[in-house]
Amino acid sequence: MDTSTLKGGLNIETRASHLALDGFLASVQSRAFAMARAALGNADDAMDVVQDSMLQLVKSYADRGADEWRKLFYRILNNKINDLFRRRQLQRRFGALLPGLGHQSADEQDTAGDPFDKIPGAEGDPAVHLQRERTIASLHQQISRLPRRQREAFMLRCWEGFSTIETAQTMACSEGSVKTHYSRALSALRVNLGRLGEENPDEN
Amino acid sequence: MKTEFEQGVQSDLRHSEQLVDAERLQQLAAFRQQALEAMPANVALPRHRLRPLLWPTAGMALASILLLVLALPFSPFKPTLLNESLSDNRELYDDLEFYYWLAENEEDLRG
Repeated sequence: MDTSTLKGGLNIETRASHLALDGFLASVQSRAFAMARAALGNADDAMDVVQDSMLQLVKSYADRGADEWRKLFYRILNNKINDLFRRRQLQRRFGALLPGLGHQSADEQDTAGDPFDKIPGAEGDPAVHLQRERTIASLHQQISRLPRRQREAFMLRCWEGFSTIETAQTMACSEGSVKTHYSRALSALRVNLGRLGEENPDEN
Repeated sequence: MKTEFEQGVQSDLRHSEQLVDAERLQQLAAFRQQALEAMPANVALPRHRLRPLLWPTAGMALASILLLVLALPFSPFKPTLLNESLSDNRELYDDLEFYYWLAENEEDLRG
C-alpha cells in the first residue's frame, strides 16, 4: 500500500489499527496457508482461501482486539475450507452431468497428491530432511481425510496451539465436544500414520 | 500436557510452514496488502485498548458515589443555619407564656 495515501487519508486510530492488523496477518499467513493446504490438498485453493479469509477479517472485524482476531481469523478460515469442501462434493456429485465441473475436480485430484510445490535446499543431512518431508506429506494427507469437526479441532488444538476453551470458542461448540473431536482425530492419525509406517518401514 | 505423539506432530506441522516457497510468500504479502486496502476508512480503536481506560474511570466514579453516601451522615456541617434558627424558634415558642408574663409585668410597673 502507498504510505503517503495512508498518512494523508487515514486518521491516527485507523493507522494504528492498520499497522496492528498488518502485523497480525503477517504472523498468521504462513500457518494459515499450510493449514489450508493440508486440509484441501491443493496449494492454489489454499491461497484462495487465505486471501478470502484475510479480506473478510479486515472488512468485518478490523475494529476488534488483537486477541479476538486470532480466533475470528481461524473461524473464517475453517468456514472457507468447509465451503470449498462442499463445492467439491457438489462438483463430484454433478460432475458426471456437467462435464466442465468434472474436469475441474480431476485437476484438483492431480495436484492434491503433491502438497509441496517447491522445497527449499536441504540443510544438514538430506536423508533426514527427505524423511521429515515425507512424514509431513503423509501427515497432511491424513489430516485432509479427517471428518470436518475432527480436522478443525486438531488443527486448532495441536497445530495452532489453542487451549480447549479457545478452540471451543472458535468452533462455536462446547469444550466437551472439542475434547471428543480432538481425541478422535488424534487416535485416527496415530492409527493411520502407524499403518503407513508399517507399510513403508524404510521411510520411518 | 501434550503427549510425545502430539509434540512430534506439532513440530512437523510447524516445520511445514517454513517450506512455503518464496513465490507464495510474496503472493501472501500481496494478499495482505490488498486486504488492508479494503479496510474501512474510520476504524475505531480496538475494544481491548479502551478497556484499560474504562475500568479506572468506572472505579473512580463508583468510589466517589460510595464516599458521598458514607460520608454524608457524619458530615460536620449537618446542623445547618436553618436548623439552628428553627431550634431557637422552638425555644421561643416554649417560653412564650413567660415572655407574655414578663411583658405584662413591665407594663404594670410602668403603671
